Amino acid sequence: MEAVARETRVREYFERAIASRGADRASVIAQARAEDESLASEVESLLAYSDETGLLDGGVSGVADVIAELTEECGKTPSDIGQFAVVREIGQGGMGVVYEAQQKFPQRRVAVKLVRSDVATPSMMRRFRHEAQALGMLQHTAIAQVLEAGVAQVDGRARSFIAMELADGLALHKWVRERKASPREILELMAKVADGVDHAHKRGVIHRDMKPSNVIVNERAEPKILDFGVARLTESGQQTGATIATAAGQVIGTIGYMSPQQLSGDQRQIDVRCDVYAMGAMLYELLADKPAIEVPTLSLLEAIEAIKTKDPTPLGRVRTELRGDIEAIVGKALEKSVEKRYQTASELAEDIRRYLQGQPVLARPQTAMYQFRKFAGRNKALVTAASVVAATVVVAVAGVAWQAVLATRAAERATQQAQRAEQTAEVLRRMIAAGTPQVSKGREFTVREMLDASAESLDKATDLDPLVRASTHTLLGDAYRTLTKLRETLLHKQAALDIYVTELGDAAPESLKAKYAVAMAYSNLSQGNIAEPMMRSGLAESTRILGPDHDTTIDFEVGLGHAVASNSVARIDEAAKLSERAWEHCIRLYGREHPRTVEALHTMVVTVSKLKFDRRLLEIQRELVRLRETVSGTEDPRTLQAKGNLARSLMRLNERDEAWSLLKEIEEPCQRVLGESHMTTEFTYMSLAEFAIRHQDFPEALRLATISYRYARSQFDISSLEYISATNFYNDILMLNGRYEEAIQNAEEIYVKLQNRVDVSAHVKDMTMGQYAFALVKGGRIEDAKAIQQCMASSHLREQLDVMIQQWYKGDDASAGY
Amino acid sequence: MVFSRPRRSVYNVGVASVPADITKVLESASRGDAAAKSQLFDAVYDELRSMAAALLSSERPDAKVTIQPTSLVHEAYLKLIRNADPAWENRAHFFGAAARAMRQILIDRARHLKAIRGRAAELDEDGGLPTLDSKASPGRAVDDLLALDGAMESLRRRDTRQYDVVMLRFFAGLNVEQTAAALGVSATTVKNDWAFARAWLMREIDRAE
Repeated sequence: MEAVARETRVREYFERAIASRGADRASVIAQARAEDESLASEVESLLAYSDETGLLDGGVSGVADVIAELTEECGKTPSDIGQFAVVREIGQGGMGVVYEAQQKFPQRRVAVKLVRSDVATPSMMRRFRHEAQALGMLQHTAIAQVLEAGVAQVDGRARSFIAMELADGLALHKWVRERKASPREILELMAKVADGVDHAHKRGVIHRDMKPSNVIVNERAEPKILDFGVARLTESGQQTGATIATAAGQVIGTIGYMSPQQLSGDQRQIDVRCDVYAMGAMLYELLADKPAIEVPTLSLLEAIEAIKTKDPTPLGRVRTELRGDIEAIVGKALEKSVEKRYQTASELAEDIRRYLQGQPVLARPQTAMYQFRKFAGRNKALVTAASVVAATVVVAVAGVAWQAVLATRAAERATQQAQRAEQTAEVLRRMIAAGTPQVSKGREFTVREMLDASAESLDKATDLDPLVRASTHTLLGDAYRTLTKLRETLLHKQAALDIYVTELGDAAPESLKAKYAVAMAYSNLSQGNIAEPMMRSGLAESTRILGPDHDTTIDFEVGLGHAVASNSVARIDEAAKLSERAWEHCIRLYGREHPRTVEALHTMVVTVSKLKFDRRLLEIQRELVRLRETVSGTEDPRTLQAKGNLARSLMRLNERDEAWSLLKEIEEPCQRVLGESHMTTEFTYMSLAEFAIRHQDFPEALRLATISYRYARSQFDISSLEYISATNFYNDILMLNGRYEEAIQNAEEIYVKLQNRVDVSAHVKDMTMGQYAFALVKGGRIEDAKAIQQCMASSHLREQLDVMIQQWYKGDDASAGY
Repeated sequence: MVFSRPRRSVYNVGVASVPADITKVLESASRGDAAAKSQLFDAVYDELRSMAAALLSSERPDAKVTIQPTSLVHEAYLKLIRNADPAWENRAHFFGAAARAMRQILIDRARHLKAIRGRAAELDEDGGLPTLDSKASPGRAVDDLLALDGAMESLRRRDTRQYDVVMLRFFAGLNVEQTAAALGVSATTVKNDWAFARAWLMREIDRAE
């Protein structure tokens, strides 16, 4: 009681003192002192603080500063990753952020790499752990030991991480510079690096990303290689390596140390000799103080071209004292042909040591070959342009039927076409070089960005031969189609068609081919009303001019079925017949397993499965999957698409188990190879969402459906079946999650926008109106729903709505009763 | 009252578990329904946290400037309350929950940061890699905030009304009149409580250092 009373007195004096100033305040204090000395000093002390400003002032702006301060660090740095307590960030790389961290047991400092990709499916995680185990087996003084790898909850998300031995020292290139290392010291060091690399190679691990910044050298000149095998580990693919031809949308890393084989994008070409090449490039750079091939200043394509075709300036010409053996050793490591290169890292290490010990080196006789290859190089001019096109497409198309395009081209008028192809390649190369500021800035960019940049600079280029411009548009259209960017595809195909018609007339083979491409683009966009007449007239013209068995005629024949189906859902039987006839024509002409026949079969499946499905279609689809796997491989986008389509059909025929396992099988490759913004991924997610609904996992269903909804919205016109059905599906799931208002808004948007469109059929308008009214009922807005009902033309819909409203009232009564 | 709305809309980010009918929840909460109270707190907390996270992860340089708890709380209010217009006493309840949520978020962040920086400082003393001075020790504002949190608990035990005034004014960003209305006391009382509590808390913060 005593304390409370005293507290009240303190408060009283404080308030009186605050209200008064100067002499008055002093007299208040004096009064308090007269009552009780300690009371007075308490009041005085509080008064002193009341005159100060601090955290509590300025309303809450003091807190804003705190948040600003917290933002800098907390926003980005996690507190813990698994059993590792994060100390600080020590680096950022293409694959993720690296932190210095403290391990709890045993107590030691480690480096923890948090992998950027936050996609983690169970199968990926399993594979990740498995491969990390293999990395853990690498134990060599020149390799930073992998201590642990796994998946940890970081900021509420599952993220993959790799914990490694923390290497003290400087990055190799800095070490060389600071230490002003002599060639001999550099060679001694690189021999140790090669020992470490050889150790890993003998255990089946390829580094794939050897570069000076991945080697840390300590004061005793002992190197440690970082990130061994991490390039592969962090790439989520079973068959993908550290290639630049990564999936659409993924980041492309530095390429200065990649061998031509690694740049080919062909997984089978990547072996231990890629690391040997990288060490050659490192040696060259460290010894010559300039890169073997000047990459950073070039665009990606020029870099690829340079690495594939250009020889570095011989080391001896950069620094005369390197002439002879050192030049030969580095040259042999940098050989573009794998056969001529050192076959293993230990061969390189041994040859370096032979030189250091004054023995003759193995590399020496190769100098003659070196000269010879340079001679041959002078005759490669024609090959160069073609390889650039190939590179473009490897990058842009990521493994899609480029061979088919090339084959078709070769079959046409040879010389003229070859010249034009070369020119086109040159144009593309220049455009990409001009239009990629991202390349030089961060040396990272995505396939999509590259394409967009190319498209933009094509528009700006004024001095182009029209036909070259047309074939460039065609190439870009193909690339966009691979990414299922349908609108962009149409844009470029249309541009190509316009040029061909102006330049060559509409009966020219080029014009007809381009016309087919445009028609197909419309058909893919569900604009059958435009596509069908184009296909029909094109088929007639092509048959007359090029003959009934010409490739372009066949294209039109195959495309017609697709266009008919996309023009009218009611004519599905007609479309099916047309497609089947075209397929049979292909079988007669090319044989059953020919890529063009498989393509026709694919079109037929896509056409028919839009609206009709039966056991027979199922068998055809299985056949298609089998053919795709044999012809293109399991992870080819077309194989994935065929499997996704098969899964849909299986679901419709209630073969759920098989559908489920098929979807789970392709979920991860879709995400990885195609990215989220791809039709097949969208399709797969939609199917998985249906399963999630069935399992009553509505939040998961919403997550999956959101991805497919986003894609449909970005690609299709609001009046298309794809857009409307994707919205309906998404809305249903929103409502299952209790988010009625959003669903109503979405349905309202379509309804309002379509009402005044003359090109939209009454049937579609009714359908969207119905969906809007249903959403209103489900959301409890019965009066609004009834108002819409008044406007409905279809009596069937009105009745359906009545039933729904009654059910809603019943449901409401029922819940009130409980 | 300061009402600096972030230029970047935060309405589309974060999916908080918004109760189906917020007004009902508010009513129940004001009647003392514990479940409703915790539901309200959860909703506000989720909302504030996701809005803060969205702003923090924003690449825009002006984002930090616009992170004002006041504006965050009001954004959350607008978003959660939507078209409903609850009675004042229910609204007051909302801001009470918002103040607690905001305090929680700030303290969590401050602790997190202090933990990280503390470890770094410790290691540096052990002869680890050198770091920049500014990062080696927790900032003053962070320490102050953590000290304030402790002092607030002492204040709550001493005088709950003063405690409530500080919660609403400091953490929810209400002005004197709004705080008075929310607590059902006069503006003068709020002013006096604030002046005294402020001095007292500042002394506690100072002593904690």
